[in-house]
Amino acid sequence: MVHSFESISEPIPISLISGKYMIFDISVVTYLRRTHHICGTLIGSIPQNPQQNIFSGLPMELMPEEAKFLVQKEVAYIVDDLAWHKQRYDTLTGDDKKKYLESLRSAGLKVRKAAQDNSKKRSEIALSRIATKKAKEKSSGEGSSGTLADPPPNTSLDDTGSVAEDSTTDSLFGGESTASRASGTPISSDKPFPVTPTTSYATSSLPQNPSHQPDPSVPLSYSLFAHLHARDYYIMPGLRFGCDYNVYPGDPLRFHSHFLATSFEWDQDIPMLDLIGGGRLGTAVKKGFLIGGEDTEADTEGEWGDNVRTFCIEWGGM
Amino acid sequence: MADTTQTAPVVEGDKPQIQQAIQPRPLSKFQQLNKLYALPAPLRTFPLPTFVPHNPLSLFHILYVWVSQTVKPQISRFDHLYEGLFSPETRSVHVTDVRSIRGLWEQGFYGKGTLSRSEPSWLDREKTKRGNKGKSTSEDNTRKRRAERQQTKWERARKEREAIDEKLLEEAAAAVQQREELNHVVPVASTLVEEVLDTVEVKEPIQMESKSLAIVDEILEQALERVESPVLKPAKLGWAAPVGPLELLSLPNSDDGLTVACFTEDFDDKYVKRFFAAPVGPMELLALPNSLRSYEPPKLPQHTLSKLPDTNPTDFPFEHESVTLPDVKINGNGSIAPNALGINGHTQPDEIEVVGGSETNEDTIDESIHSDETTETNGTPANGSTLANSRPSTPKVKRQKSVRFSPTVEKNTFIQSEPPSPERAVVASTSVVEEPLEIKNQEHLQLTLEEAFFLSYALGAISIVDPETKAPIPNQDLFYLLRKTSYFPPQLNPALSPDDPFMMNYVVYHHYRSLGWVVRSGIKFSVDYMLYNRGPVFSHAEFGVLILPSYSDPYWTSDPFLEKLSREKQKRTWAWMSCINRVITQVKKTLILTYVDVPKPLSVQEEQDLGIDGVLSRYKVREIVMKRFAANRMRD
Repeated sequence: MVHSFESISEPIPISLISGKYMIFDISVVTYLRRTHHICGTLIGSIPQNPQQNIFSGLPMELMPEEAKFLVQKEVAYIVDDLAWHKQRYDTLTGDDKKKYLESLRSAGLKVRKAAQDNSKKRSEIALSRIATKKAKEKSSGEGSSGTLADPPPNTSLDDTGSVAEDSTTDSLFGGESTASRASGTPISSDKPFPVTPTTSYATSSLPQNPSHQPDPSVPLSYSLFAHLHARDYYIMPGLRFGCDYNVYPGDPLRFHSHFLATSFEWDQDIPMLDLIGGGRLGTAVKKGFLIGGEDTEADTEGEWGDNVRTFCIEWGGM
Repeated sequence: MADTTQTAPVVEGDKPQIQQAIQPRPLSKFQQLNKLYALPAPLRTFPLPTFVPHNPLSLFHILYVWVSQTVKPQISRFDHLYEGLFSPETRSVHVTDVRSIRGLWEQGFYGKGTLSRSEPSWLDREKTKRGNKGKSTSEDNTRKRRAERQQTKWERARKEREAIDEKLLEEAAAAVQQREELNHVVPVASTLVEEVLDTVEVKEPIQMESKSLAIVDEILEQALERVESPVLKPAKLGWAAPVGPLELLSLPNSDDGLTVACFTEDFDDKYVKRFFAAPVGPMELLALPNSLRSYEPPKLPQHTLSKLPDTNPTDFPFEHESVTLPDVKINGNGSIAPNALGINGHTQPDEIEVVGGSETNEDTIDESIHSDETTETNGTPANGSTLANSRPSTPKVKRQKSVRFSPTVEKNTFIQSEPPSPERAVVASTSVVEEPLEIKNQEHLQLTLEEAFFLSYALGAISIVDPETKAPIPNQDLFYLLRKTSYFPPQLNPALSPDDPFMMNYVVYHHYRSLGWVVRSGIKFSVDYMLYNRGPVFSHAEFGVLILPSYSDPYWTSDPFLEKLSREKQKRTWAWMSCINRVITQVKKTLILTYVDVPKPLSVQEEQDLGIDGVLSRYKVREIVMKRFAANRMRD
């Protein structure tokens, strides 16, 4: 896995699409998770298993806080995908366009070939299996007549398989198979698989001037996020636990979260019911209900989240 | 409703009458609850008589009642209103007299005991805690109780006495029986041993020094084998594989222990003493006899005893020593072994001594390796010899008694002729005296502002008293007083906004109360109100109500400032919603979002012209029942 990170060069582009911060590259996803404790949320459905929404795949959506954090750390920069797409494809003319289309076509062909190879291999396997079965039947029939001649299955498999292949393919697929054999390959070379690129650009072709995008706008709880992240916590969105952040002591794949963090403003009145609800819920799911806020009037103008104070509330049965 | 008149006395709390009424068939718990909480509201109702179609006279009855009620309407309020004291400090209304407390709780579940979770039951709990459940705590009662207690104590002591006596008799009988059995077996065994000794005559001249014990042991072992194999079949049982926990625990702990136990080594007294020192390790402690049954201290010493009187009266001190020893450190037979050896050392090499040695040998092997002997020896002749002849059974029984009662319990032993010691009786009686006879009720009922106003304004069942003037507050004044108090800190200006906390809560409270729900505070589940179908004593709450202001009136969007203000007040986050919904679903309730449409504010004069009714009628309540639906979890 280490070598896969070598191809990643900071800063990393984060695509901003309709207000969401997305990452489309799996190696970038793992890289961010390992190096920067940014987990994000996978939101794409898995093509192999499209009828469920418990497990998701690429792309990964980042919380605005995460995006801002990465940008501030200069690990990443934000690309307005829509603008960049338009800019790039409106100016695409002549040779460039042709080249691009050619690259798409060749990619499609490659996919087509891979798919075809795959299916061919599969059918061969299936055929050989059928052939083996037939040979066995045949050999058992022979065995009943002449018990002495009982060849080991390994050697007989090859012989009879190769013999049977021709006959069975004919019988099984009939004219169709011959047609596909005769003209299948030329047709496939003509018609590449349609390929839809996940990004409309190669990573190398992206603008390298990250300064023009403004910082992502973040909710007020950002300071709490930064505060917790600076203390090596992993942070996930906390909607399902009714809080701002779900705070993990390590990688969320290995740990349960420890805190339900909710941010308040320094001078905000905190409704009693919110404290009760949060405390109750936190205790019920065996987590601490953590409230925190940033003292905006504190003098120390240091790192982000330095002026944050946090408290943990637990529901005590007396 | 026909039973309203019946239940009226119940509310007044006339216990004996209820008892008599119940007498024929005791009511189930649910029936009792039904009876106690029959009235859903603190009101009197006057239902018309039932109409019986085939009895035309009932129609006249109905007519008569109806006419008389229209001519002379009866008031559904109680003649004597409940009383509450407005407390500005706690922003609630306190109810202190018992009648009001019980009445308000039993007829609609209003309020909360200040020292209880909901029902004001502190006094009952306190009484149960102190053990006197009955309400009558007069002197008479106390004296009677005291006498009863004394009597039961005597009775208990007598029973204990009897049990002990019975046990003693039983044990004595058992001892006699065992002795009889032994008398058959022991002669045989002793002759056998003699025989053995004759055969190994070579070793006879060796004097009994401690060194030569090993040789004797060898002889003894042989003798023992011979003795055992043909005659002592029951003893064989002792050699079975150790299976019980006690046996397993008493197995030798190491090789060292094994060698000693098996007597393969020449063992001098020192060694033995070291090994059989006082039990300090966990193993030794565990190997100690577990009960009286498994403990047989007198085996060896008594055996020697039984023979000794014939030979040497000087050995009596030893007997005494070895008898007392097991009492001090109840080390089972292991600790006795060295003692027995010591005895042997002093006596002449005689038949007696040989027998004693064989006993030790057998015992130590049996006890240390297969200590199931402890349970089984009772039947075996080897043990039988312990109880052998000559000694009367009584002293033995006495000793057993002293073993049975540990020093602490010993105080409790009773002398046959005496009643339980007077000291103890005195202690008991003093403890009775210490009991406080009267517990003052420290608890009062606390009504929230909405409850109090609903009771006062909507039901007219309570009169709320000003804490200073002690005069009842009229509803109009109370309305504004409560609205002011609902802010923290309480507001002083009379121009109150239409969305003050009291108004929002009261509108919703009134709404659900008038629909027949029992509404109680839901703060413990982080909602504004909980809705009970009949009341908390009957079932759990079904719904949690969240009050949400809705500034739908055009007034609130007429002005950018107001618009911003109202938007700010209506703002809730999804995380907040998710949190509360999770809490509510966790306790198996359903969340109701109750939106209150806030009207535009009125001037003081306008409000006063409208009156309370007019002000309240400007509010609208909308309800949305909320339930989380997860498509892939709720398929079935």
